[in-house]
Formats: sequence, structure tokens, C-alpha cells
Amino acid sequence: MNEVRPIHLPGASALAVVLQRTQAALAAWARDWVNDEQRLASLKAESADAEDLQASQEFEATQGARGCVWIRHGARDRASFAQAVTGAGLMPRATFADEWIADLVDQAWKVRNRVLCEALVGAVQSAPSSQGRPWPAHLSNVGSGAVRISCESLGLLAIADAGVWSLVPPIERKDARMPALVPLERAARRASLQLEVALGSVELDLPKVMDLRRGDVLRLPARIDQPFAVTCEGKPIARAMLGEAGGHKAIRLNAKTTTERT
Amino acid sequence: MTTIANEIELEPLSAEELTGKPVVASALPFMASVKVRLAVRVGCAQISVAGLLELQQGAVLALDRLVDQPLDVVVDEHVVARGMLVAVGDHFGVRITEAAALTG
Repeated sequence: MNEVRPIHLPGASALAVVLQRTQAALAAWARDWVNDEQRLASLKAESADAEDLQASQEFEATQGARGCVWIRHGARDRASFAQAVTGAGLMPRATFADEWIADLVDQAWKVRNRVLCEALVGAVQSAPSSQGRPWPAHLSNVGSGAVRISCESLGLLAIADAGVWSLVPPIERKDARMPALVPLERAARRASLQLEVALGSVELDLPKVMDLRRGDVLRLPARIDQPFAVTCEGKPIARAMLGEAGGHKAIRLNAKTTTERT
Repeated sequence: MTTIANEIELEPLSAEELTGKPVVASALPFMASVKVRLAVRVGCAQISVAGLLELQQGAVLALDRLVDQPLDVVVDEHVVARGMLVAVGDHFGVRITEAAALTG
């Protein structure tokens, strides 16, 4: 049986809300940790559904109250991030090999990720882990609701699952006018039915039927002076008298059959 | 007198190679005991759901058959004969004008 799953189609304005929220959180973080706040300018929030998520890429998963965020921690990400944190002014005089610089960068990395996670999916529930948290397969489905947050100059690439939307207030807008539901009977008005007019039936032994010859007369149960049943798709709908109209055989409807025997 | 009754064990059967020869050559000898229901159809009318709902008592509906066309004698949705509408005493009847061949 096919799995049924909800489809999430984040619109531009919903993504703008996520971006704004992320931007505010990271800006507050950057005031403490980054020399050049302009680096946040390249921050982007995009729909990440159907993204080809490479399991081989190194991500750490952080579980928030409403969802999960995966943050990439490849060597290049770390390097860009270290650049952002230490800034151009510091580097000629110190190197990343200095332990205190490494500690500083590491601290800044952890705080940034926590701040980001809180902004996206609520309070962090568990310490980030790079193990035992594989990509859920549904994340790369179309309509999964996953969001990709990136900021190249901060060495940031994060994917948040659909939990991110539980923190985005519904966007007020005028609902498009929905057509009213139409009763089925009215919707099917133009469907065609076949009314069948038969003068009852007789049961005969097959040999008698085999002997039927031109000129033989079968007496039918229907009486000439009484109305007989008219059926529609096998169900009796009315009783009628037989006659002629415009050169055709015709019937005149009498009454419903509901209370009559058929 | 004593009757000896032994239990029978049934051997499993497996189909042999089919010979292609039918077991029953003709169904005709068995058909004497068959009963069939003949329905006599005067005609039909196509009507939409809306039309059906608007039908009023006293309304006249023309059918798809002309006045002088024969009626169908139907067995299980198959027309096996045709005939003209007649009166048999107080009842409707049908005088056969054409009957289908037995086989073929």
C-alpha cells in the first residue's frame, strides 16, 4: 500500500519569515562573535525539499523542541567560519594552531549552532551529535517542508525539517474564493440513464423456446388495461401505460411504484 | 449375515496429458431440463438524471422504437427473437416474426 504523507509547500513569504527570524538570531550572535557583521548579508533561506542530500557529507544533528536541524561541519565550513570569527585583523598575529584561537572558534561554532537551532526549531533538546542520526528518508521528498539555511561567508549550511513551520505564524491573507460544494444529484444532472420498457417476462423450458416458430404467440403477464413497470438501470421507477407518440412507441407515466407490486 | 466394510483411502489424482477431445460433444441433450426466462422489451429511452427528476405523472415519453417495429424477446440480455405486439384476451402478447437459430 502506498504511504500517504502531508505535502508542505512553503511560499516566499513563509520563507521570508524564517529568514528574518534566523537573521535576527544570528545578528545577535554575530555582535558577540564576529568582527564583520556584513558577513550575514549572504544569509539565505530556501525550500530544501527534493534536495539531493548527500549522506556522505558531514552533518551534525541537533534536536529542537519542534524539529531537527542538520548543520554541515566540513573542513571548508570550519575554515570559513574561523575566518569570520577571528577576522582579518587578528590573523597575521595569530594562527589557527594556537590553542586559544581554536577554543574560541569552537566556542563560537557551538553557540552559533545553538542559536540557529533555537531560532528554527525551538529550545535545544539534546547536545548535537554527528553520529546515529541519519537523514530521514522523507526529508528529500517533494513537499517535505525542509528548509535550507545557508550563509557562505559564515561557513553555514543547515537543513531544518518541517518542524521549522510550527514556529512560523500563519500568514494572514485573503483566502481565495472557494466554490461551494454541489450536491451530487445536481452535479450528475447531465449523466445519462436508460429507461427500459418491458412487458414482463415468462419462464419457459428451453425445448419450448427452441421450438418457437414464426407465428407462435407468447402470452405475457402484463394486462392491457393496467399499467406495467418501467425500469431504469434495472430498478422499477414508475408504472406506465403503453401508447404511441409521433410515430414511436411511447409510454405515459402513471405513478411511482414504491407502494405497488412490480 | 455380516457385511464387511473397509475404509477406502483415496489416491491423489494428477491430470494426465489432455487429449484435446471434448468430453461432451453437444450440450443439446441436456438442454431439455433448462428453464429460461424470456423478457419482452418494447423499447428504451435515454434520459438524463435531471430529466428523470423532472418527470411528472402524466408525462409521455417516446421510446426508441417506431410503432410498427417489432418487440425484442430477450434471454439474459440477448435478443433471441422478435415479434409484433398483440392482445391475447386481456393480456399483452407477442406474435413471433423471427427467431434465432438454435446454434451457430
